[in-house]
Order: sequence, then C-alpha cells, then structure tokens
Amino acid sequence: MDRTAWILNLREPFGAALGRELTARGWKVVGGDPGEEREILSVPGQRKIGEEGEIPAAGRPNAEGIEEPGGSSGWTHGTHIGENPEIPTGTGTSGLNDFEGSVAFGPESNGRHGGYEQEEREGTDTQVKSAQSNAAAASSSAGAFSDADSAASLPEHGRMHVVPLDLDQPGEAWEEAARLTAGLADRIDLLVLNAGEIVPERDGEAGADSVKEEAIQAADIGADFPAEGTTEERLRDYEAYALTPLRAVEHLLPLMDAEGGLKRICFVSSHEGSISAGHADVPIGRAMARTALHMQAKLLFNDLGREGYTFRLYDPGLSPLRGAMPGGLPGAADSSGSKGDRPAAAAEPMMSLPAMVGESARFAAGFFTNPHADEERLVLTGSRGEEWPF
Amino acid sequence: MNKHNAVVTGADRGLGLALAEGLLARGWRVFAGSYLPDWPQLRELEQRYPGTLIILPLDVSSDSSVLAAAAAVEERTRSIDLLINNAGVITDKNEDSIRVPQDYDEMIRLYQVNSLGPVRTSEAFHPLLERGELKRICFVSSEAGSIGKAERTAWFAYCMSKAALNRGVRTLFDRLRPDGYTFRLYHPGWMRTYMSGEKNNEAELEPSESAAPALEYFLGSTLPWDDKPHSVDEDRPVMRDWQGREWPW
Repeated sequence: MDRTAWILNLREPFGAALGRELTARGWKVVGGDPGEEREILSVPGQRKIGEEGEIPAAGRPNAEGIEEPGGSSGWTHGTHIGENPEIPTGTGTSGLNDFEGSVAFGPESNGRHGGYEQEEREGTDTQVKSAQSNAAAASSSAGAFSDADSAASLPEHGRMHVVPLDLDQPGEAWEEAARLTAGLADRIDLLVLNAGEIVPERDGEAGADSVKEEAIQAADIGADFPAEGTTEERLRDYEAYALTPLRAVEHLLPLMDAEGGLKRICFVSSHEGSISAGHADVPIGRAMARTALHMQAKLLFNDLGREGYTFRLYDPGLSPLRGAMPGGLPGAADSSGSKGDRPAAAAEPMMSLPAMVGESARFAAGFFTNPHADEERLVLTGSRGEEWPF
Repeated sequence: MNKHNAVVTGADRGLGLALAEGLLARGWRVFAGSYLPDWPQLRELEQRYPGTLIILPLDVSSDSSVLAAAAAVEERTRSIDLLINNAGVITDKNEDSIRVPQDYDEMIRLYQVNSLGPVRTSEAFHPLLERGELKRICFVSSEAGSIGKAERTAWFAYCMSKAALNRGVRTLFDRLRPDGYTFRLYHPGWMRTYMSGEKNNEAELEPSESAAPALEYFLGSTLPWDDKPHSVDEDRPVMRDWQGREWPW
C-alpha cells in the first residue's frame, strides 16, 4: 500500500495524533503547519518564535503559544519524534491501547501491518530528509538530525513530512505548499482539513488553567450581552476555521485527482457550528465560522461527489469548553492532576486531554480511511460515532 | 399615542425599502439604514412620510458606522421595538467552482455584510431594544444558508455567509431570549431586486410581494399590545420563508 494523507495543522495536537495514527497504519503523512517555515529558516537557538508570538495574521492561531522544549525542530521529526509528553501516542484508556497505538514504540512493534519491511529499511534516510521538507535544504543538511541520540533510541518511521505555511501570504504559501507536496508524494489520497484550534493550548498546565478561565468567561458572557469578541477576532476565526480549509482544497485538489487515489476530503470541525445543537457558550465568531465550514463541506460534497470524491465531517469532541464527555462541563482539560487545590467535581472527565486527543484521533483514523456504508450523505459525526444535526 | 420605532437596514431599495414602506403604512416610525445616498427611492419615500421616516447613513460592515447610527437613533428616541437586519450583498463570483481560483476578498466582504453585519447591528442597538416594548430582532437570511437542503456546487461566499448568519442568530437567541427578546429569521424568496448590481427580472417575486408576508411574520400574527394570544412559538428558533414554510438548518 502506498497511501498519502495531507493534514492541515500537523503540529496541532489533534493533527499530530492523527498523523501518528495514520503512519502507524502504514500511511505516508504530509502536513502543512504555520510554524514550519520559520524553523527551517532559523538557526537552532536563535528562533524567532518568541518575538513573533503575537503575529495577528488570520488563520494561524497555532502560532501562539508554540513552546517546543529545548529544540530547533518540532516533534514531528528529528530528535523529538515521540518525545513530546504533550502529544498523545495512544488512547490512555488502558496500557495495552497505549502501547499499541504508540508511535514511540513504532508501528513495527504493533504487529498489525505486514507491509512494513521495505519502508523500515528506507526509514533511516527518509526520517532525516523529512526534517527538511524543502528539497534544497534537505540535501545540504541531511546529517543535521542524525545524531547518535535519536538514531539509537527511536524507531525509524520517517513518514511524516511538514511543509511550511506562511499564512501571512496565503496565496503564495498555498502554491508553495502544493509544490513541495508534489515533490514529496505522487498524489494525495486523503486530505484532512484540521482547521483552526481543536485544542487551544498545547502547554499542559497553563493550558488547563486558561481553558478553564475561558470557559468561565464564556459562561459569564452568556448572561451579559453584548457578546465577546471584536470584529478583528471574528474575521480571524472566519479565516482560520472556514477560509483556510477552502484555500487548502483549492490548491491541493489537483494533487488528489490522480488515477487510483482515494479521493477523500475530511473536515475536522465541531458541533459548536451546529445551529440546532450548538450553544451560546462559545465565541460567536468561532461558532459562525464553523457553521460556514459545514456549508463549505456540503457544497464541495455536492460538487466533487460527482467526480468520485467522498467526504467526512468529524467532531473530535475536544471542544475546549465541553470536553470529550457528552454533556461534559468546562474544565475538560483540567484532569492533569497537577492542581490538587481544585475540587474534583463529579463532572470532571475521566481522561486527561492528551488521552482524549489520542482516542479521538484513533477513531478519526479509522473513520477517515475506511469505507462508509452511506457515502451519499454528509453527516457531522462525533468521536463515538454519534451524529450531530446541522 | 406614541409611535413604535423600527430600524431597517439596507432600506435603499428592494426588500428593505418595501419593508420600510409597509411599516410606515402601519403607523410605525422607521429609521431606515441607507448605504446608497444617491439612490432616489428612499428619499422619495421620505417625502411621503415626513418626520416618520428618518434616513440613517449606515454601512453594516463597519463597526464605526453602526455605532454612529445607533447613536443617531438614540438622539431621537430612547427605545426601539423592532430591528430588521435586512442588508445583504451577493457577488458575481457565485458560479466559480473550486476548480477555478477563488476570490477570498469577496468571501470576507460578504461575511462582513451578511454575517457579522447583523450581529454587529444587533449588538449596537441592544441598549435601545432593551428599553423597547417588543424587543424583536428580525433577520433576512436565505435558503442558501440551509446546509441540509443545499444543492449548490459553488456559491461558497454567499452560502457560507448565510449559514454563518443562521448560527449567529442562534447564539443571539440563546443569549437574549431569556431577557424577553423574540426572533424572526426569514427567507424572502427569489426577488426581482438589485442585489447583484442590476435588477434581476428573471426572479419570481416583486420585493413588495415578499415584504407583505415578511411583515406578517416579523410582527407576529398579533402584537403584544393587541392583547391577543400569540400563535408563534417564540422558544424555538426557526427559519421560515415567505410562504411560512420552515427550512431545515
């Protein structure tokens, strides 16, 4: 099997977890991420992320709060494969599942996929090259990440590649991303539009706190009109959650047309965008942008379905304000256990946020790659297989 | 008797003009948002209803314009009863499928006017509505915002803007219904209007043909001061068309 998935926001926790699930199933994964370009261009130790942390550019909420501990490269490649404790590698529900899904142990340790030997042998080189997705950079720095440390302690998979997305210049950035992707893969089988932020903070404890605060604020706002949010924030949400995915489809679609491709487009969204089921405790701009994304998915479904494309619309159940539990309450991310002073409410979820991300990504990997009984209907589907109304 | 006050956005022509005229005929005082100062129809209506039609310069895509309009209304009255968010725009890029380059500036323009405009206007006029008797906010949306019924294969900018509007209305409903506000969300049908720049003569309805059922719906089958029971379920947000049919989300 030689299947390639392209994931928008591959560094975002859900995108990363999904990428790992897919590589574990034998897929090649290419992803776009706003954080990538600056890292390629900057020397280790002189990264500009801190200085540019407040870039207000539309469509790049991930740029904020990127804190990759002590490294010049991200955790999708190089010395950091499988080493970021914030990025889940399994479901967290049992040791067995944890082990089975863990890329830290490598897909080859799962014993689930037969066709790996070839790729494992190629892995050493590919892993190194994946650190620099841009072809010119790859040749000049092929040894940069092959220090003994990572080579000895980590498995070879090397099947994730990140391409930069400078969303300050979206038109050019997407053309460049399409060009780089074409150099990495013959075609794209599966396009995953993981728009905006599924999990708004990647920084464990601080994230839990600020998620909680955001939830409390939102609850207050519900009682206290007018609503939160400036026009600028609302437009930024529209760019991040609705326009960025459309830009991705526009530019990457030609790579999906190739003969024999799976031709599947998957939207990662949320029932926040459901008009009948959504609630008022999310920022209005984000809710509206997600609804626009659902409409976009439907229009593409109507159009490209005629050419054999199939679609998935997925709610990973990771809304920062609701958590993964049905009827879950704000503070879902708060079970890291590090805050002993917080009363353990009965509604506290049973899983940590990374575990929820991992479980949701695991479900998504199957949902996205497997055939579906009814491809004639586009349904917003949750991480338990439940259907959400529009 | 004090007149009841209404604000209608996008009242220069088309449905907005017909709605303003219908309200004036029913004895309302109307603050008419005007985006096209050179378009004559609203000025002609003003001459027929001096003092009860007040023209407001209003660009619903602009925070400052909307706030200035709300301030201008507040100089004339301390309360409004009815806000009709009618202003909307369309684009000549509707037929551009995903296979051709998309115009993202147009998408943002439509979102600013069609989606954020009504939210922004509702927020700005909230203090005036709060002191009003009816507390009713109406939105002219479109069947094009129905995801469940969508059969189009392009029209990204317009359909996305109207679907987002419907979601925004839902949030406003959830937040304001407990305070006694009531909501109307309306699909006016395909009208012979100038929305695309030139008058569309192929469409099936004159704006006045849609404005009459619109006002019936917006004002309710009865009004609270008529001392009769309401026939509308105010606790369920729905989108209805000019024939009273409910549209799925």
